[in-house]
Amino acid sequence: MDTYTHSNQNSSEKVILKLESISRHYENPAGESIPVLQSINLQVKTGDSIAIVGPSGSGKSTLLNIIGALDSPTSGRVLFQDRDLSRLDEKELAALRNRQVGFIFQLHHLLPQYTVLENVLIPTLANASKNRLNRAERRARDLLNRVGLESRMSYRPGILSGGERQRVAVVRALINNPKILLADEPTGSLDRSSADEVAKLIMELKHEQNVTLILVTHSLELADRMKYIFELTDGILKPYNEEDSI
Amino acid sequence: MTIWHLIKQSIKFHWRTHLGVLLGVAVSASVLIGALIVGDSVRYTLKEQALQRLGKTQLAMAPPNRYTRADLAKGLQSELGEDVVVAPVLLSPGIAIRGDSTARVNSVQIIGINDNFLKLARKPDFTLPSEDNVVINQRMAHQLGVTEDDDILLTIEKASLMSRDAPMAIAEDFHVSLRVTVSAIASDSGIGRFSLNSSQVAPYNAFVPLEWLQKKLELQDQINLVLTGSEYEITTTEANSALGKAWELADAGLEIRELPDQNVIEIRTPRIFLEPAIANTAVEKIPDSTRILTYFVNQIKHEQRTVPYSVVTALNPIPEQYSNIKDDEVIINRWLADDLKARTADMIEMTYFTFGPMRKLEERTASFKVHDVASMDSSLMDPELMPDFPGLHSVNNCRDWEPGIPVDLDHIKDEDEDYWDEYKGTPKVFLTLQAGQSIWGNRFGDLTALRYPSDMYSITDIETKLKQNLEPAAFGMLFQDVRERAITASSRSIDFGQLFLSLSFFLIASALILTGLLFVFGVQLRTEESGTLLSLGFLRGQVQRLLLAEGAVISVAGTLLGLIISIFYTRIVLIALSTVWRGAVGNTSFYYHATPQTFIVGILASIIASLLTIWIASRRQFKRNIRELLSGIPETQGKAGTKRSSFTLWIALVSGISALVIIIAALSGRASQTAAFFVSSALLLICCLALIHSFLTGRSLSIMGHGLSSMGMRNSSRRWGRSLATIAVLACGCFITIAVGANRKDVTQNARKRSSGTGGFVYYGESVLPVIHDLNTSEGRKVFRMDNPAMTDVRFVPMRIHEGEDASCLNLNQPQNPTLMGVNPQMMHTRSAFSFVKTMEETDSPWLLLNSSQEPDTVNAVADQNTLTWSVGKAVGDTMTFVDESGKAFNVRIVGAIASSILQGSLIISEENFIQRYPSESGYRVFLVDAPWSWSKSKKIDVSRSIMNAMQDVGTELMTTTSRLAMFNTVQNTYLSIFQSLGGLALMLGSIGLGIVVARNVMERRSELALLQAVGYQKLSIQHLVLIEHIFLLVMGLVVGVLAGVVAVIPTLRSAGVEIPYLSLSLTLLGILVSGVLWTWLASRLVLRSPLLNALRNE
Repeated sequence: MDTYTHSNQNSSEKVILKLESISRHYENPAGESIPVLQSINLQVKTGDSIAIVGPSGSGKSTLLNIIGALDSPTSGRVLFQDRDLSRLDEKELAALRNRQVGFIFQLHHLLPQYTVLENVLIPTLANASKNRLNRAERRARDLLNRVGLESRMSYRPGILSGGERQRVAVVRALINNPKILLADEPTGSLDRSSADEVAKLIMELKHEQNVTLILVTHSLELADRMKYIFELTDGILKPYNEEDSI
Repeated sequence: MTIWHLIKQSIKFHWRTHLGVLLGVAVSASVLIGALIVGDSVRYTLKEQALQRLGKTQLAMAPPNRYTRADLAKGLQSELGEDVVVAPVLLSPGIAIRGDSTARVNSVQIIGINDNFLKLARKPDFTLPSEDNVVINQRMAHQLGVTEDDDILLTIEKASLMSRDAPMAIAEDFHVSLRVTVSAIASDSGIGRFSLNSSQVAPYNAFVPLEWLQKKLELQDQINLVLTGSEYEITTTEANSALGKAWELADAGLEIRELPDQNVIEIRTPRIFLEPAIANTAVEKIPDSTRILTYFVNQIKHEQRTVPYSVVTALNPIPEQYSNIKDDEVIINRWLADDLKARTADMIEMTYFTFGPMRKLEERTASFKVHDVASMDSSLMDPELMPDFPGLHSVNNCRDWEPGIPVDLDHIKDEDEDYWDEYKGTPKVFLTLQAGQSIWGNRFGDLTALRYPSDMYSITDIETKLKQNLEPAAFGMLFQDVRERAITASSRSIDFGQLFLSLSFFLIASALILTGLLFVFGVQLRTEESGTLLSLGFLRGQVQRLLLAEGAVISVAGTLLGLIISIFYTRIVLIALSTVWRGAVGNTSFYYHATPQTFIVGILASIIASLLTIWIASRRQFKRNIRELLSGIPETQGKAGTKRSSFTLWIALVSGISALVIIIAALSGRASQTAAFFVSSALLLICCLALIHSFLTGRSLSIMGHGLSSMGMRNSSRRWGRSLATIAVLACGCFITIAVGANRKDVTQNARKRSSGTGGFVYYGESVLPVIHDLNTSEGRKVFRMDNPAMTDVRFVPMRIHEGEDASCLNLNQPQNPTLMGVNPQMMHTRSAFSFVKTMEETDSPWLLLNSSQEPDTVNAVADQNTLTWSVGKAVGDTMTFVDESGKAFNVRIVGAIASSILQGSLIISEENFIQRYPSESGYRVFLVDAPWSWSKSKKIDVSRSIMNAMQDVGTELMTTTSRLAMFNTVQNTYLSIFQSLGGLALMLGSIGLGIVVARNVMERRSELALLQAVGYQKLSIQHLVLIEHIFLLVMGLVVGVLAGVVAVIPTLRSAGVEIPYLSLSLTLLGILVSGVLWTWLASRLVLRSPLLNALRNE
């Protein structure tokens, strides 16, 4: 069993995420078990950026969902900051998703009934005090200014362009100062120029906010912006380049 | 930003989706709150009517069949003080006929009043009429078609101080007819509807001056009702204490007089026979009494010589010189001895009448040995020993005798005339009291006088001692809180709130199911939103609460909208109850009235019900995986071979088998059929729905082939919950349609059967004035001139009545004092009349249970099942407490329940028990009439006319038993109509629900259907596919509903007097089918109208 980790000049940086023998099987209507992920091992250190590439149906999104505690593995362990996610209850997992993890989806998943600012602030409402909410609103405004959406704050997502929506989604993912940013094909549904713009923004913000980034994409161009690239084929995770492995 | 802000924004954004939910909640809320307000309105109206009919009256004293002095009211007034109004009233039943005889009203209350009565009115709207004038109430004026200054004829029962059933009472000439002019019409919403009995229907009232009525009825200074009222509350204790001081012996019908010649003080009564309770008290508490029983005998005979019509006296003690007389011996006076030529030790025979029920006179003879002959100047020769026998005591000449028994004046000889001239009613024969009581004692008493030596007692002594030892309550002189009783009756009335809630159950359920469906649609549209919130760190509970909070806001808004609608809905229901549904309430108009509590309860109930529905309907949504939710694809539910499928198969199996077992048990007589079949039908409904669930979620659908039809049917499994809900709503609707439709009773079928609700009788008659003769004998018929050949085959079963409150379903109030009827059980038993639903003990002769009673002071009774269940709220085995004529409480135990019959409205006890408890209640007032059913209609009409004409003086109203039964069934049938109307609305909602399901299903599958179009399917074929899928649901709903409905009504189909309205039922079911197909077609057409291929492009 291979364990992949990234090498880092600063060896003092801690491992933020550790996947140990992660497997995921699904049952088809006939009751047969279909393996999607097979014994995946991975260690991610704080501040790194990782891309996972692979063909459609290779299990990339499933892996990302497992990392983000949206799904659970059939076997194996996910250790986030040395905490085994399988040992956390629903409340702790929700708190983890809320505070430690930021999600960016291919389809932005903005709620159409709320304004841009409200969409960004939604994660802060899950578990917030009044003071925190006030701070969050200031931060949301700052971030939206940062991504060039200051004039769109009171707009509903329905009237924004695809790129703008995804920028809102990026800000929403960062609103709670997450430790790790998980992006599932963040540019997949955008035109080329918007995709470039969003990719650039994600990378800038990653550095500014000092957040670990794991990104799933078809786009090697986007993947190349990451420090490490892994390939997922038939449920098996391998370094895309030799130097990405230990 | 706050969570509340999020909720507000969401509601604003999704208002279109929420609008449907809001309307669904509004419908259920308006029906629910409306039902409760209907309850309030009915209760309020009944209470208001109670207060209208009583005015300011709080207490009433109405001694049964007894008259008290009018001065008693004055005495009470001085005891109670000037703040209290004490109104003496003389109340008598009567008949009113319009001046030109074109209209008639039986059962009129003729109310003799003075000014005090008017002081009890809340707002007096008439003044005391002058002599020969009458004030009548609106209902009576309307019925007679008269107005002010019109003449009417009142026929009033001439009061008799002694029961007309009593020996020597005069049975004829007991009513008086008076022509009076209407001086005013009293409103029915005031004291014009005065009555002591609770009913939502105003009585017929005629108010006349008290003194005038007393004069006309020869009841000078007599009253039979005292009413009291005051601005402050007066208690029964206060009033009864005042009564204890104000009453006099005359109020108990006692007369104390001194007979100086005999040196005695005598207690006697105009009722002839001293009531046993009084006599016993006097004997016990006042020593040295001489007990006297004087009787009138038809003949005294010795050998061949006879003396007709003589007065005889039994007494104890007998004067000392005759103290060794034995019980089979008599002392005769000299005159008799001479006339009969009888001497000491000779045997004489006395022939006399005894009085059975229906004034059945039985002539009996008793033989005695002459113990001695008393001289005509003996102390025994006392004309005062004869009580004031009506028709005898004030008559100078024997030839003018008109006693209450048949006498042949031809038998009276000159010697007898001479005796009467010289000695009047001086008894000719004396015997021991024991001997006299053994042959002449009767239910009215066995003493006619008590005498005390005047050298030992004064009149005052006797009066004081009697008053000290007698309680006025023993004569029924007791104040009762009629106001509280009226309010209790109205507050414990049929709960129309609950009734309408039950009747609206399916409508409310349909609206809630629709609400749930619409809410779930909304939630499903927002599946992705739920996933997003969860992925952003919201807990499932938080997301659920967010959506439920939206639901709560909609529920509150919908409920408030429903509240407004409910006000209109209630008004419509109240109008319907006064018009098209008047059969349920007996032509009553209701006031709209709602209490804040009802609003609060209604609002809370509606919010809770809708929230619960929303929660139940949407909770599955939140159990899904976040990943699935994020995909935004609504749950498809249809999974082949799931555990759920086999679990529901087990449910189907268990409920199906249980239904079968219960049906078999019911058919073999081990369980009540109606309940058993109803439970079985419910189980069958569950079984069918479980089977359908299993079918929709199981594998069976996958082996159905690949045609368009099978594709359509398979599609219904995609959203089995939705499909099942649709089927369930439709099935319930059909079930109600059948169950209700088939339960409508047609009274004409089987009416001639003894076991039916008519008891096999042809007519039911009720008279205002009592009939004291046996109408089955030629003598009895002669009195009413009914002794014609046409009546030969007619037989009567007469019943006595102790008037109380109507306990039939026609009275919405809960009777506190139901009417008691007395019948000869044998007459019912020999006819095997009516069917018993339940009896206290297994017996083939349930009517004879009335004769037996295990416990003292307990009388057995039977009653109509509806009366027991709905009016008095009792069951077989229960007891109720009544008060007899002497103020003594006794229990009435229900020993049998009669299936829905013409006997609704009262409790029936045996005649023997009846006359024991109410000896003064004269004669019969209810008649069940037997006549050949084979008679032609015209002959039946002729006979009924001839009976009514013959008995019109006693105010007889005759109706066919089928009409009477129909009158009661109208109530039930009207409830069924209400249920059906509301059920119809429920089905309408169900149809709309089906339309929504169709539209939603099609919208969700637009891309799938577009794909079909892309691969070459025509739009028509696609619509055909959609129609098949949903018509499958419709047909399933109909089949299941019909099946369960038929099982539920099997007992009705098997029972007597049922006519199934096959045509209307079939048309209704067809209507449901057509409306369902129409909605399905319309919805599918609307959704499929826009180009489907766009949907594919959007994909």
